[in-house]
Amino acid sequence: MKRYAFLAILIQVMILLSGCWDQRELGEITVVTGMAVDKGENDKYVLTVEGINATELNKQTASGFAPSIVYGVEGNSLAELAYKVNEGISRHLIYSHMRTLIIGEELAKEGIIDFIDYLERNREIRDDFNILVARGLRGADILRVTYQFQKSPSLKLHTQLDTMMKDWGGDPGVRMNDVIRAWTSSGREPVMAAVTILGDPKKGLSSENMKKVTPDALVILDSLAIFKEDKLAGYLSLEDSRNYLWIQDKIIKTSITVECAEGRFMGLRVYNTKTKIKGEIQGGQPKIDINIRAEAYVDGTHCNNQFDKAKTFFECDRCAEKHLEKLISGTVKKVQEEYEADIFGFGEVMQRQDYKDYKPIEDSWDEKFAEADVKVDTTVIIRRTGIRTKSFLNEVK
Amino acid sequence: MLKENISLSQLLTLLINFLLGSAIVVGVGGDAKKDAWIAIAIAVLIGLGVMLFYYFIISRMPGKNLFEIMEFCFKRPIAIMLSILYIIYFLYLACRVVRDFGELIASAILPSTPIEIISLTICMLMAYILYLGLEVLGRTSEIFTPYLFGFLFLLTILLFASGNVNLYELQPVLGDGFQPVFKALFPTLIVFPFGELIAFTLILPVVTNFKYCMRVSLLGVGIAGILLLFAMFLMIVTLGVDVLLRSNFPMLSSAREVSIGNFIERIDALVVFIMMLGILIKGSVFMFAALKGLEYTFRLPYRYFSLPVAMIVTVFSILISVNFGDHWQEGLELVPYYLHLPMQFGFPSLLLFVLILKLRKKKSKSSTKEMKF
Repeated sequence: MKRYAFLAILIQVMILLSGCWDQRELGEITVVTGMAVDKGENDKYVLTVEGINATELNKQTASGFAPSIVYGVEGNSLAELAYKVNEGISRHLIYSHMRTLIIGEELAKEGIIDFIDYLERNREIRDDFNILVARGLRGADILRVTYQFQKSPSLKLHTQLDTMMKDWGGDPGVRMNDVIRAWTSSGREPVMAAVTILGDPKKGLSSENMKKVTPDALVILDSLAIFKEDKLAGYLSLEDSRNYLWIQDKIIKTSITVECAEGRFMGLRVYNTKTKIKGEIQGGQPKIDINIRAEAYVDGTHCNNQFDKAKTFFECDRCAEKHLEKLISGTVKKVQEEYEADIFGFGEVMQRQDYKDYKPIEDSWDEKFAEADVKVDTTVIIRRTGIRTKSFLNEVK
Repeated sequence: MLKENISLSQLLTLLINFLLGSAIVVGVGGDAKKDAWIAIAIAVLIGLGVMLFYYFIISRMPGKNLFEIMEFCFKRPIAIMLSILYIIYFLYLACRVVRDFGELIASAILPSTPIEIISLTICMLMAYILYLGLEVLGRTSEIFTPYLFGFLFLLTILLFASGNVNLYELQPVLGDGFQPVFKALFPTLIVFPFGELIAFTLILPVVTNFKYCMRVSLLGVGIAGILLLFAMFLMIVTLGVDVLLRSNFPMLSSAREVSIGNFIERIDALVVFIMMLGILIKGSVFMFAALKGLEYTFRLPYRYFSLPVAMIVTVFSILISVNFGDHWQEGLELVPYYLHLPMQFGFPSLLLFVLILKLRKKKSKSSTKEMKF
């Protein structure tokens, strides 16, 4: 009896511990860091993936080969293509560490809503990658430009955009879920950062590009892509992109240049800011109040300001407030007039704050947004001035 | 037959895990959209009432479980027929719970592992626990519950710390009035998970210190309700109601949002643990309820049935539906009306009515006897 029990346990253990159906050894996989989706010639899409060559990324084992492999296949659904890529790449592809998704301009103009479902549904792909538009290019080209510090193009882009967002705020920090939320919400239209290549895309291909002080090709953050529904409607400048972030209350730090006298400027480093939006519909017309409060320090000035008096601070505050107000309302006006697309999510604000009046106009919100009366109210408080009080310019000029 | 006892604290943890069980996996109250948390808050109050109702039935005849009370009310042959119905009902629910878990693991964690294996392993575990008896189940739940609280707490902290929490997602509160809230409440939220407490009519009688039983069970329902409410709140503010409604497993989706400094991320395992514990306890409690029914019917110790019944549950957890949509639709559209309502409220109400009548008769009889003496 005891022997049979032992045997039974042994068989069970053999079945249960023999391992996992889903195991993948490290040597069998290639980690995908970036993905580009473009319009196909015959079929709907071309999916290009960048799989990294892990030994090249490690300084000790690197031997000068290309840091990653970029390969694309054409087909009608990403779900199939994601595995069909193996027609050119030898190992299993792991998509869970993807950092960048680039959408070609051509495809973005035609509409991108279809393939996003795959990305949202897939269990492996997570919502922590940047989603970008390649301005004037195919997305695959962006994946092919090497860079010296971070050899993998998509990892470089991810870090670049992150840093940009934290220091100045040109990247809207959009993730896939934000895009989907904007689509499903009646009071918001999606945006994405747009990148482009400075220089010759063909020369960016090889690792030679990494060896130059000024690379032949460099991927730069270009602008903010505005979508209407799922179609690319146009681009806003980087400056506007920053202002967009400001309205979204997503600015972490930024710098602004204020004209303090004719032809002279003062740099302000904004290190703490808070935006509040209030919305109300009065007699069918939406009224929106944007209230921005920012704290800053003086980061260089061309004017002969006496920063040892409180009064000077206050004067500069007023000056900066006017400037900021102009910046923000300029951006809002531009979007209202040129695109009629509520990228700022004012409709969502209305929905939250004035649900009863918003409900009837929900479907035609974008038109209402174009007519909305937007007031910008800013408070800038300059707290300190670096490690000098008076400027030496005072004595020279 | 061995006399089993579980302590009050074990009852408490059993209740908490039972109620969280699959409710936290699949998310409840979605019909109310942004106001799902309000719906749950109301449901908790009703849930307390439901618990009281079952307690009231059991407390009429201390020490007797549902099936024995049935015998008292209707004589044994009828009671056996009824208990067979209940056995099937409890086994079906156990199958659903195991299937929920299987679907969770198969679609989110281990896609190439056959769901049969997942069902089989968890059912074997349940069989082993139940073979060792209710006391072991109680102790298992008692030991692991602190982890549940710890992980839920950790998840909350991480979600807040990673900046995924947008409190404005809750607004507008009651934008469309109370209508959707009521729609979510009746009957879906009441019967699932609170109505399922009927399985505890077989556990309450064996609790030591029966006089504190009411307080403890109400406390258990209260704590579990608050946790459910909190979990729902957390899911709404991290995912937004739109994603929440599209997620198969919203709790898992919200855990996937966590990312702190590109370092602390992918903490799905915490959520899977919470779910696994809940499912294990909930499935075992249902299975125990069914085993008790078999014990009553065949007059054999229920332990003997544990392995065969677990195997039945394994097989039927796969067979009850052909695909996920089938499983989902069955659970939302058919089960609440055709199974839950009659089994949880219809029949017990009848039982209570008959029970009170019989008890009164007996009392008057015994008092007349006393008069003669």
